[in-house]
Amino acid sequence: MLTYTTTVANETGIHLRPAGEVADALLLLDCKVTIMKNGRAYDAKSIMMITSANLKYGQEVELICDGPEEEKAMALIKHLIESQES
Amino acid sequence: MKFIGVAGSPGVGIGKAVIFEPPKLDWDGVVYSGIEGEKARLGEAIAKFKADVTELANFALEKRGKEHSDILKRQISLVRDPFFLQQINDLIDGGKVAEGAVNEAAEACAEIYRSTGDERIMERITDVMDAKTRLLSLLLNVETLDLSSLPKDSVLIGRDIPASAIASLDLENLAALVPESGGYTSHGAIMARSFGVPLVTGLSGLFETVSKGDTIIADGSEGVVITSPDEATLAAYASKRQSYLDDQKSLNEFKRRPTLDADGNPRRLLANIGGINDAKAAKANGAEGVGLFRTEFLFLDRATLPSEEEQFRVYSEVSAIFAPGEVIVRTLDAGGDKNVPALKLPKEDNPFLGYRAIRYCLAEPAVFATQLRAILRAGAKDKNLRIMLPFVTSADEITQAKALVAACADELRAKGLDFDENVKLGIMVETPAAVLLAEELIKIADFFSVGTNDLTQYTLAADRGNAKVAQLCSPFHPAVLQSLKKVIAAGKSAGKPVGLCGESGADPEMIPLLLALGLDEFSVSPASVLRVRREISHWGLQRAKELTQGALAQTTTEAVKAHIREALKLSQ
Repeated sequence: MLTYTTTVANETGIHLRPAGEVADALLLLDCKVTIMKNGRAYDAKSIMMITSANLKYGQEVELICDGPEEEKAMALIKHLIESQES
Repeated sequence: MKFIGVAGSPGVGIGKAVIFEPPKLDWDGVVYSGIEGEKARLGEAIAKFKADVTELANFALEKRGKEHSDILKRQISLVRDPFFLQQINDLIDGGKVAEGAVNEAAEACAEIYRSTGDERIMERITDVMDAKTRLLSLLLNVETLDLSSLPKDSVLIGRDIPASAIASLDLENLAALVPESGGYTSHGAIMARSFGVPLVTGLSGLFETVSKGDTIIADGSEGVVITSPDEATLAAYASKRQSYLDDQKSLNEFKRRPTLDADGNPRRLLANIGGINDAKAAKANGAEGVGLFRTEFLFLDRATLPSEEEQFRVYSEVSAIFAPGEVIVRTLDAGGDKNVPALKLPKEDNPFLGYRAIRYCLAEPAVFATQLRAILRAGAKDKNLRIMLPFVTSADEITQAKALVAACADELRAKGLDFDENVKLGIMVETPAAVLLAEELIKIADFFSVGTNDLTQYTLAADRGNAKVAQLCSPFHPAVLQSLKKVIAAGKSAGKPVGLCGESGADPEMIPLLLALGLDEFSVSPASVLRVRREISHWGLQRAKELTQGALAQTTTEAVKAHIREALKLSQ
């Protein structure tokens, strides 16, 4: 299991398009991917869950990947949270 | 029968009605077949859904491009979404039939989008509703209309035509789109304009009266739909359709051409834009650059001001779209009729004569400097960005702004950030004060751009939004024409460029005057670019000067217009 704590880097929050692309890519991986925010867990393979987490600029989140492909999954989800692209 | 609506996408379509009706979805009679049974039905429907939509998405990708296939792919993502599937499964476990479970789970997803309150996210609710309808249709075995192959000359009519349906439309056989509900900026209208398909929307009463196969005329230029027309009407619109197509063909020939008058003298033809979508549309229409980039859109509809980084990214993107063509960025023009809630400006009795534009920016140097730094940095790569100050009435406003630009440059240099060291700074000429002082102001400004809308209103002391005095508010008024003459002459004698970014730059009756007076840059809306280029190509300088001499000798707006119309008639 990999865990990593970071903050949302994009000033305008997490955007739907990249979140959708990452969720779609994560679905292909054999790995459970969770975003923890304020003690609540959100499944990062679900665009619905990512949206409902309502992540805002500067918020701290913990990323948890657990499974055979956890390294790939962590790279993808880190990119989403730490990307500054608008 | 004739129906008046909103002109959503120009052109005339004539053909037979194809009715787009949402399927009737009713699962009251469906009997719960047990957890296994319902999940099996759901699994089958989802598999079919994925196969159907993948096929449509491939079709859209091949025929339309990525943005259209993306609309369909988002639907596939939804039916794969673990949250959505979990919700459905839980509901089935709880005794709901598959249809009821899908319906409730989709509503839950829509609610998640709605709860963000973010407009861009809420737009996706239509994707969820589209996918829900398709999935329920599959579960209930209800036929959905296949829009990817239509009979020849189809006019598609519906109360609402979802974006996913438009993305996979058979454009070859489509004559026009008529969604009853919608407006000029609705998603369907934007897509129709990008396809070049006529679209009329914002209608009422049409859907009830029309039947499949009826002859329909849809005039997307005027916003008119006529059902079962008589022979004479049909003939009239057939000829209107042909002249529209001929006109489009002629305009398209101007897309890759330089902007030259009939004598072969070049002019610069730029676009007025309010964002990145406009920039792309302007580029596609052959604009050589941007004469007016209204940056207010970055500041509107939000609680906080955009950061330097956010502005930097937007300005960089527009710079890259047009490089090496110039992009004139107008600094924040808040106040007047443009309300920017994030600035928390006090309400004023007379906002048009109040605390606005450069007045605000100089009083709030932190807000202004953020924007200036973003422009300076975004110009580092292509050096094609220019700074333009709005609403200038005196030289010290320019001097103060220049001092602030210099301070921003020092700051960026100290931080080791790249920026354009030689950025040009010009002003909007939109107040009588700026006109009267033109010779002085051009000594310290690098260029002028005349904003004819405001200049006309301030020169004639008439509010263009007040119907009782709006007729006074004409750029053909002799006082406005004399102002134009003076400003352009001041630029000429200083060897600095003068542009015009008001509506009148695209007016065929104003263009010869501007050419004769020596205007260097025309900046018009993206949709007008080709028309203006064609208009300019018709005018030789000698003929334009003769017309202008006569027009400037008139003493009333009416006499000026009569003179121009007479001259245009004679030259036809």
